[in-house]
Amino acid sequence: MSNLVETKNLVTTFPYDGKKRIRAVDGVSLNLKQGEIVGLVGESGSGKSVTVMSILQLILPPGKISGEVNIEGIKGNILDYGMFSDEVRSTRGGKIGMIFQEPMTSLNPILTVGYQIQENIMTHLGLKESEAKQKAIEMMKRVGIANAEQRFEQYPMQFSGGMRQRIMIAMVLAAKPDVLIADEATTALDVTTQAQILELIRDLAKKENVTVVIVTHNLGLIARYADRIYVMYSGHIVESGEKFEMFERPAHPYTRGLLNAVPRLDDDKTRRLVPIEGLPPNPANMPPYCKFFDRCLYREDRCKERMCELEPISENHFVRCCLSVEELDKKRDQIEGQFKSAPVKTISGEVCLEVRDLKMHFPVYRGIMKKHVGDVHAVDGVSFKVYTGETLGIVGESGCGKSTLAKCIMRATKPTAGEIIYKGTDMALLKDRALKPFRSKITMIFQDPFSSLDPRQTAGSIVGEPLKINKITKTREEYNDRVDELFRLVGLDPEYRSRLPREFSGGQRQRLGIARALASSPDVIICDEPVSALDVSIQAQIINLLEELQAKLQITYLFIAHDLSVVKHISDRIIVMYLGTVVEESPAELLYSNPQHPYTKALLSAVPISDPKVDAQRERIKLIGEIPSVMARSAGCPFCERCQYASERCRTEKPKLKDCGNGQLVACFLYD
Amino acid sequence: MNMNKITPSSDADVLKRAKRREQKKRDIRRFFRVMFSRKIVVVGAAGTLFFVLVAIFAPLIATHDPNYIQNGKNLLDPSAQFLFGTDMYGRDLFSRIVYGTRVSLLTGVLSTLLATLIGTFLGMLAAYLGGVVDMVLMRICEMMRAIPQLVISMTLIAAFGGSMMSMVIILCFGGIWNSLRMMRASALSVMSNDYVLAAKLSGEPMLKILYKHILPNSVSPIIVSASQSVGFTILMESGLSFLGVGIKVPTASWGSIINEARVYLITNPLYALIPCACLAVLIISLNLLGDGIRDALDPTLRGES
Ligand SMILES: Nc1ncnc2c1ncn2[C@@H]1O[C@H](COP(=O)(O)OP(=O)(O)O)[C@@H](O)[C@H]1O
Ligand code: SF4
Ligand code: SF4
Ligand SMILES: [Mg+2]
Repeated sequence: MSNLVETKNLVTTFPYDGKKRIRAVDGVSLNLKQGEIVGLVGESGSGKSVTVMSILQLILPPGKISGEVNIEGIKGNILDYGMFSDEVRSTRGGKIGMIFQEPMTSLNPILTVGYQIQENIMTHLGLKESEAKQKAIEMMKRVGIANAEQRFEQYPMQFSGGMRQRIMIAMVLAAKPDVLIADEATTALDVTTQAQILELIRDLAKKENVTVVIVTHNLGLIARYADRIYVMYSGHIVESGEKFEMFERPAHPYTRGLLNAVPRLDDDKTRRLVPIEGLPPNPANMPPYCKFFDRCLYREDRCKERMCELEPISENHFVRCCLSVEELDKKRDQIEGQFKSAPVKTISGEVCLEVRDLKMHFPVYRGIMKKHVGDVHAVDGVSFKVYTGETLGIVGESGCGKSTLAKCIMRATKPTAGEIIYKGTDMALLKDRALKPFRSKITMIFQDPFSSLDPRQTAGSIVGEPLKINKITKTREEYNDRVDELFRLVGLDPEYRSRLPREFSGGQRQRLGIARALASSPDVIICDEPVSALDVSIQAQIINLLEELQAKLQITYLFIAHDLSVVKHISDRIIVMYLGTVVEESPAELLYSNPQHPYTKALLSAVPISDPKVDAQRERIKLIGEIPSVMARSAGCPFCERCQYASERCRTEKPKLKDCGNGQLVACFLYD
Repeated sequence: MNMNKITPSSDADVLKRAKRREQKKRDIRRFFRVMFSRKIVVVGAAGTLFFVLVAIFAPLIATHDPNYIQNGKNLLDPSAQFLFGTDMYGRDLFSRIVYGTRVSLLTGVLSTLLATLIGTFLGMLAAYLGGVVDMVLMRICEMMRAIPQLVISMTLIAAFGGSMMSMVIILCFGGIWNSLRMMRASALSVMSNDYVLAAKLSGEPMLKILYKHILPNSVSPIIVSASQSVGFTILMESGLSFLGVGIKVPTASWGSIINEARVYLITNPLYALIPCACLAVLIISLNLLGDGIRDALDPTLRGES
């Protein structure tokens, strides 16, 4: 099969600090064949986006592209034509369509979506207006938008994130491209929506023989949806090959490292993640030898002698490493023998925190008169217990009330009703003053390592703040010692105390956030998506740190995240939330091996496992539709509109959490 | 890692503190370098400095007592004795203008300062407390915006009289609302950061959160707007004095001098022109300086990139 698109030694540079130029893409050669799905995977900043933007010549000066890009049907190197030439414009959006991460910015908010699709069809296919409209409606139906005729007249604002991404796909596919590039197109979406969108893309692509490039940092997605994979690191392709081959016999130390660093749904309890220590090299200071050297567990002195090239190790498998596969494999056993298993923790039988029938309703006002038109039931009767030293995971899609629940327990807001019992005291309705002693015992780690640290405070004073507020340390010396100790506890050099947050990397900042949460020696730490803003290799560092700290200090965690693999990895028990209610509570292993609630099953099935063999054998349960609007709540089971087992009873009566033995609780009439 | 057990006064600590001081110095130098990166800002700074010096050393510079009436020597042309001539009552115009600088600058700077302080505090309160406090303050802001400031000021002068201090308070009253609204918006965006929530959740008292976290992170647009509104306030004061409702005679104020001079515009044009020119130069200088401060504090606000 011939190549649709082929790049040879593509280099894209940007000016840096005056005269220097950094190579964001450093000699990338790749090819795309008709009808295949190619995964381009790597951490943020590895040059994935710049690579695809260079192919489309979307790089604006002062950025510079060099090398060769050949596109089928266009003679010679398309880079020679100039970015405004007809050839390039017919490629962009015509031959090669692209979907970005944030569909809101790619759709014009003041035009109807129908008009935008129609417009696109008219430019690229040269159809008349009425024909284009017909075609647009047909495309909207094809991407699964119900009531396409009516929704044709609606504006982007009126669509959910997943629906907007469908519109984008309709728009791009309407121009009949040969290649569809999806750059982190589903990263901002919930797992179930993500699965829906990618399945849609895959089915459409297979049907129409379109080539798809999935650009992502998520190995699981690649394992499930791609046929062939390119792994990028610091502007280089370090390994490429056919999917099953790559996951079965990963060769490059970076690929091996990534696979060891990501948590998987089918992990057993004792697996400990192996983070890739350190950070990618600063693009302004690239070593002239292997860019992975500093972080590589397999490195040898000879790696420093030259920059090696991408070389074949089998017919379709290329690796960029000075060591041969045999040498790497030999070293592997020795290296992996040193991996520690997860630290052992002790969970006591004492209930540390109990939440009983917690409710948080927000009133909704509408119109100029601010008429009270109803309530959003963000948290609607949640109950659970957490034992000392345990990690309770809370999962659910965005908008299901996880963060509101966390804010209530932290008493950042006052819950509408219910009890929050910490060591025998109900603190649900306490006033600020009475809350103060609890503030030091229940602390929080935030999602965004950038907004959670005051940019104008030094690292030391951020970490030490709770010590001062709660008057924990008496003297200045004691204070200094404690801050130093906290720094060391989270693996930071106390020398960094006087630095400002902007001088730390994302992972280090998250460590500072953890140190701050630990400062007042809390019993409970609420972690709200603590790793979702971090790259996989850094994610593993933070997860390990949290596990170690728990084993050492007997802390209780409430671990909130939307990433089921992460939650499953770190938690002892998990509660699954849907629309403000708990639908299932279960020990972590059982949740994966024996899920009960139809929603849990669908959620688990939407999460890919980064091993294509295992993943292919799993049962697929598709979830219909999207989360209903917060205002429209059914009187019956919150899940009834999307549940394939829904009966008459489900629509009128609300199921209660029931024990079905072995520690699992389910709220579903199927188990009555 | 053996450095961990250092006592607060060890060598390493001294070194660290020296390093931070060095950093601070560098930051300040960078501030001024950016601020003066446009030549025109230097002109503004020079003009402002000139008037500030004049105001400070007014007693040394003035050749006469500004309020002493030289009998029979009214409306004289400029001469060696009376550099700018004399006014309608026979007072030395040069000395009056020199002392007028004091009045203009002092009222302008003081009232802006006061307005900014109060506006900043109220704005933070509105943002932090929300609810009723926020609603009431915002309603007042809207009301104040609906009534021209001149009308408000004139009404207040009728009530408080025209001493310099009451002038400062009256002008300040007009300026509070703008900085209140700006500070509220700025503080709201800072408050959406988790570090504010973190401080709240660790039990830090409100005033400390305002002072330690919200103020430093939201104050730069306020400083920029304050530096740019000094000129406007001075103009306001002159305008009021010109209308005859400003600072009471006989205190020399540029506005009131212009007011007296307008009758003699044809016969003695310099009488009115000189204070007008001073006013124009001072205000332009102040605005240019304000632009420089804006460039240095918030490069994104700068017109061209
Ligand atoms: N317009 C630009 N100017 C300067 N540097 C850029 C520009 N765009 C991207 N870069 C740099 O190029 C590198 C690769 O970025 P990117 O392709 O976005 O990575 P990825 O998509 O893999 O996350 C990064 O170091 C980034 O900072
Ligand atoms: S070349 Fe050496 S340092 Fe680079 S990945 Fe291979 S073994 Fe590691
Ligand atoms: S109660 Fe009914 S609708 Fe709800 S999950 Fe069970 S079967 Fe489905
Ligand atoms: Mg990207």
